[in-house]
Amino acid sequence: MMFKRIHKWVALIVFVQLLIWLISGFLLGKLDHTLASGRTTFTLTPQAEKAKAQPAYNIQALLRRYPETTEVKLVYLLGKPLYQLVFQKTLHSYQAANDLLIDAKTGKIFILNAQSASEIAMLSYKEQATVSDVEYLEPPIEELTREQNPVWRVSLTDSLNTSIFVRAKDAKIITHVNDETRWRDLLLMLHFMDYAQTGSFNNVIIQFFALATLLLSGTGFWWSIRLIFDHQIRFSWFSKLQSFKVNILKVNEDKVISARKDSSILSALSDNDINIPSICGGGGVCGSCRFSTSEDVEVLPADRQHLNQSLLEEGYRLACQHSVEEISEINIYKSFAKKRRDIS
Amino acid sequence: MLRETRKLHRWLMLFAGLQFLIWSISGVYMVLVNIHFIHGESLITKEAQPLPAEAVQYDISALLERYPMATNIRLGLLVDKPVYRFKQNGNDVMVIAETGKVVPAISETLAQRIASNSLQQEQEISSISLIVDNPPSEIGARRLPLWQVKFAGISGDTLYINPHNGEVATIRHNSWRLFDAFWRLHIMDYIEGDDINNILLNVFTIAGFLAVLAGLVLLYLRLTRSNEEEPQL
Repeated sequence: MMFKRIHKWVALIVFVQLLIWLISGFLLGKLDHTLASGRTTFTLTPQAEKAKAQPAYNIQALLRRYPETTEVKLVYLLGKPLYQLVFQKTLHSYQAANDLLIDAKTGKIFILNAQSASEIAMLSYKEQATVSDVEYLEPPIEELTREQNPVWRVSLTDSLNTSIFVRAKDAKIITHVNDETRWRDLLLMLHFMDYAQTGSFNNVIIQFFALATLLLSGTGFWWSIRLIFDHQIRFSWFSKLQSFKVNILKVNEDKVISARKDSSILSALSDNDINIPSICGGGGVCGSCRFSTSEDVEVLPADRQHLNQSLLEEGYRLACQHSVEEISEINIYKSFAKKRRDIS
Repeated sequence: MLRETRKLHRWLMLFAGLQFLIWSISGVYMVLVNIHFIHGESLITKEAQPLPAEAVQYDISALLERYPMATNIRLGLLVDKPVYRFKQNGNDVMVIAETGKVVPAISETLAQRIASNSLQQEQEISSISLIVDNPPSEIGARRLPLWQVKFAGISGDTLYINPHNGEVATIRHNSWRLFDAFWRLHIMDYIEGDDINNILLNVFTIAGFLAVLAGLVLLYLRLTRSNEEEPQL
C-alpha cells in the first residue's frame, strides 16, 4: 500500500500551497479584470495630435548612420515626429531591446525626460488627477515584473493610486497600474509561486510543487478507484438492513446487531456501541480493527498487508474493509466501554 | 471525528478528485513547458536582417504627402526588399521603399516564401490556403484574410500570414494546441476558454477547498495519534 503512504507524506508537503492555489484561483475569478488591466482610465492619444508634424530628416541618411537598423517606426510624441530605430526584433514589447529614438526633424538622438514622460502619461489618462511623482526605474520593476526595459513611472493622486508606466526606449505607455492591478499581481504571484518576481510561471519552485501535487492527486485518484473496486465506497443510498451476530470472546458474550448491508463492519459495530481498536479510523492503514469469522470472506489487499497468512487462514480480516452483507457471524476479542481516543 | 472526516474527505474527493487530477496534469504541463516556446518564439528566426540603405530611395516625407492620413508607419523588410507598412483608414497598405509603388496583396508563392524564411528549421509545407471566413478557433478574433501555411513536421507548425503586410500574424503548433486544451481544462471553461469565474469552476474550487481541509484534519489526526496502541485481537 505504498500509494497510501505517498499520499499522506506528499500531502504534508503541499497542503499549504494547495490551499493557496485554491484561494488565489478563486479570488482571481472575482477580480474586476477591466479595472485591473488599467483600461478604464486609459485613452488613446487623439489622432489629430499625431498627424500634425511632418518629418524632414532623410531616412536613407539615417540608415547610413545606423546600418544595423532592422526596422524604423514613425512615432509621434506630443505632436513631435520621431523615428524609432529597432535593432533586435522581439515578439513582446516587454522583452529587452535597445531601440533608439531620433528626432525626425533634426536627426538628433531623443531622450525621453521626466517632463515629456509625465505629459504623455497624462495624455493617456481619461480622468482628472495630478502627478505626485515621476521616477526613472531600471528593471526589475516591482509593479511590472515582466518588463525588461527601463521605464518612467508617473504616479498620480487618484482614488485608485494609479501609476502610469512609460517605456523609455519607445516612449510608449505600457500600462496603467492601480490598486486592483496590484491586488491581481499579488494573487498571480501566489498562484504562480513567483516569489522571485520574474512575471513567469516557469520557475523551479512551482515546477517542484506541481509535480508533487500530481503525485498527491494521482495517488488519491488511485486510492478512490481501489475503494470503489473493493466495494468500500458504495453508491446505493437506500440499502436494506441486515442482522449479524457478534461473539465477544473475552467476556464470552454475544450480541445480535442490525446495520445497513453496505456499511462497513467497523462502523456497524461502533454504531452499536461495540468498540474495537481502530487507530486510523477505517482507512485500512493501521491494521488494528481485526475480527475473525468462519465464513468464506474475500481477502482484500489491506487484509493481506496487515495480517499474515496463518491469520488469514484462520479467518481474520479487517473490519473496516468488509461490509455487513459479507458476514452473518463474527468474533471479536473484546469491546471497549466507549470509543477510545475517538471522542469527537 | 476521524471517521466522519475520512468520510467527508472521501465523498468530496469522489466528486472533485478527477478535477484535482486534471488541475495537476494541466498545471504540470503549463509550468514545465516554457511559455516562450509555446508562443512559438523558438520556432521563428530571431535574426532580422538590417535594412539596406541604398534600396530606400522613396523618402518618408513623400509618403506622408501622398497619404496624409497614414498612421503606424513602419519601414521594414518584405523578404529582402525594404517596404513601408502603414494603416490607411484602418486598412493595411504596403509601399515599396525603392520605387514608391504600392504592393498588392501577397500571392500564394510569396506567402510560402515568407513562411519558410520565418522558420528556424527548414520544413516542408504540407498545405497553404487563404482564409477569408470561418477562421479556425486557434487564431481567435484576428482580422481576416490570412494565409494559413501548414508544415508537414510532426509538431504541426502552422504560420498565419497577413496578405496585406506580409508579416507573420501568429504561429501555432501542437504544443500550443495542447497548452490551450489544458488551459481550458484547468479553468473548466471548455467552450470559450476565457471565463475564470464560471459556476462550474467555483463549485469545484469550493468543494476542493473543503476536501483539502478535511484531508488536513485527517493528516493532523494521523500524525498526532500514537501507533503504540497495538491491535488487541
